Amino acid sequence: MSDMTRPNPGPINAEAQRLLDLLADRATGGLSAPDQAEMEALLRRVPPLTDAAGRPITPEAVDAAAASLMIALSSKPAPLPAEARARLLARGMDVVRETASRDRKSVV
Amino acid sequence: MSETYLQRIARGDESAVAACLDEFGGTVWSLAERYLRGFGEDLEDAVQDVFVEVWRSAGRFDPSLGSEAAFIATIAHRRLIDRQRRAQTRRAVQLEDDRVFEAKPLVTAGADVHDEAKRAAAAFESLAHDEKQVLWYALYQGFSHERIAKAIDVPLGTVKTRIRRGLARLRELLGPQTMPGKGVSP
Repeated sequence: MSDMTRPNPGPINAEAQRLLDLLADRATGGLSAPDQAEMEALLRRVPPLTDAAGRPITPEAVDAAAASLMIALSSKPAPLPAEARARLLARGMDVVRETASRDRKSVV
Repeated sequence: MSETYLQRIARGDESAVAACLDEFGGTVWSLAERYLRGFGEDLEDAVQDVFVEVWRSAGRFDPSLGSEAAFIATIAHRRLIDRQRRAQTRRAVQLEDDRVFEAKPLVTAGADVHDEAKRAAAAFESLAHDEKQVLWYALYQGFSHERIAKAIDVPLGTVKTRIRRGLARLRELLGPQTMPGKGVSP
């Protein structure tokens, strides 16, 4: 049993263990459609989990741990190629304008 | 506390798009290079796919709950993994497993790297070798669990167990600052 699987208080049941496994798989390699469906069902069914320190174990917390490591491993990248940057920037401007326009309409 | 790039983008500040690209574009590009090597995918298209989701999700980012870098890395990882899967579904991809993990992987958290990366690098270094190995393949190289099993010649179940154990340990070592709740994940 891993450290993540020690909720506080009490032992973990099979469903909670399966949920923890799926959360870790999702954060590191993605899930197949059946696994995704199973994870969503378990999230609805399994009571909130905490680790040994009493912190909640949420999908976001597991994702965040994986993301932090990704950042640490990738911390000195080369800059974007200039031509790609220019095209991405143009696309970004379009997205921001589209989003702002949609938000204005939803307010009206 | 100053406004983040994503908060500025969420309220329609177009100048923040360039700043966001300059801050995080290289990271996402290098991630795409590693994750999609051998898959025959268009890198720029993949990076654009990531950033379009980042910009459209900017309104959901909450800086009190996690960093912009983690928010963007989570989107990038998920999008690039999805792209790998689609590429493999479309055609049989022959991948070379020539990227060999070493005891000192490419953790580059030097003096110029922000605290989050430094803490994650330190936590990573404290993991067992077999946990570091599988997490490096999964999160640095973007290998699927099946591909990791083949690369290091162990059963798939062993890879999953090591990843789950290592990630749990990592999360505990990183502590409350990387317990961002609903803010960090898109």
